[in-house]
Amino acid sequence: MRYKAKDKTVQVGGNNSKGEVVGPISFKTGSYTTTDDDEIALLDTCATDPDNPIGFDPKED
Amino acid sequence: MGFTTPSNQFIWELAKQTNESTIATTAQYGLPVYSGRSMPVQTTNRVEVTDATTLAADPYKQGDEHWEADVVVPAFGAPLPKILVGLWPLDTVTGAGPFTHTFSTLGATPPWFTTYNTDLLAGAVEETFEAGIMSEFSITGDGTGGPARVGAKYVGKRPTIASYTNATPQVVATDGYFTFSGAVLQYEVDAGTPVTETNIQSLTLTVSRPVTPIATADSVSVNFLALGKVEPTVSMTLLMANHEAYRATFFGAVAGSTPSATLVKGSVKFNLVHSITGGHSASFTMDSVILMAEPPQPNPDASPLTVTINGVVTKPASGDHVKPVVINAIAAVS
Repeated sequence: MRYKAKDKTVQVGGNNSKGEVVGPISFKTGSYTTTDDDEIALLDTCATDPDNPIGFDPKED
Repeated sequence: MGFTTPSNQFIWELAKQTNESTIATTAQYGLPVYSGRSMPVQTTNRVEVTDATTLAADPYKQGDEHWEADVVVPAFGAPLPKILVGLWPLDTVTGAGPFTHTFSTLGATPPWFTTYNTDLLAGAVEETFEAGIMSEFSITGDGTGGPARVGAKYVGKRPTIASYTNATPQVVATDGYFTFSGAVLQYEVDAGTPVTETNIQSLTLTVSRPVTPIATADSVSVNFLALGKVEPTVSMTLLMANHEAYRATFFGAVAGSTPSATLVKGSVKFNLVHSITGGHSASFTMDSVILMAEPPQPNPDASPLTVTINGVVTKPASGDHVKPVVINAIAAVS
């Protein structure tokens, strides 16, 4: 999955369903692509939150 | 005659673990406390069988030893995100300095924490408290000013006597702190957009999620922690300004006059400023709150008439019940 952020300063961190740390994920290039299930779950949460600066990248691969 | 041991030479420390089983051996933040510490908890019971020789049954220790922490600390700027992430696990950081930490996913699976007690007296015991999760966050302030007080509660699996690497303790005078003094406090009893009010004498925001240690038949200390439901509440004592909150509470509208079948929803936002660094701040936004005001009580002593409001924070149209944002100098995600 591919995600984008509103600017290149955005970082995000959280944890998975076991409480294991996920991230930090940096958007220093403006976008981020991952196949990691935990990262996808974390970033999907961000991308579906209208208040979060991270969104799905329409340039989906 | 010797000297007594002073009780003030103490630092409480914490670190976020990378997972449940990897106990942190280096503290990430050290905090002086207003009160509290991490401590072991054990329970005993009696073998209740008939016994001809004693009046009381023999005791035994139950297999539920665990640890709990209930500390109140100043609202330091740097550690506050590390505390908040215990209940809001997702930290989104923006900016190039200062850095804005926006917390979300209240009540989602939490991260694990190690906490520590550092008794600064010579020869002191170092205690490491393993694999805990946060059970309550609170922040409170009143007209006395000074640091806002952050309450943090944790419940964890195993207390140990084990050395660790200390963090540099936070210092009130040089690190500064978040305070309500000089900040903007906002509420509205019947609308989703709060407005600035200046008659709040004292306030407390509490977000709790009970954590229950679960013993198993083979356990000495617990291996399982049960998560309860999240309960966000807010309380304020207001200097009496009008009857809007009272009428909205019992009569359904700020101009209501007859009992209402429905609850009125308002909103609250608490902002804090930093005592040293301009541009650093913290805020807690509650977009949907049922504010219930007691009628003001008369008093022969002629003290100021006050109104006590207790609020139940409900799910807003989008996002979390309580939305914390911290702006500080920490670039790393919590």
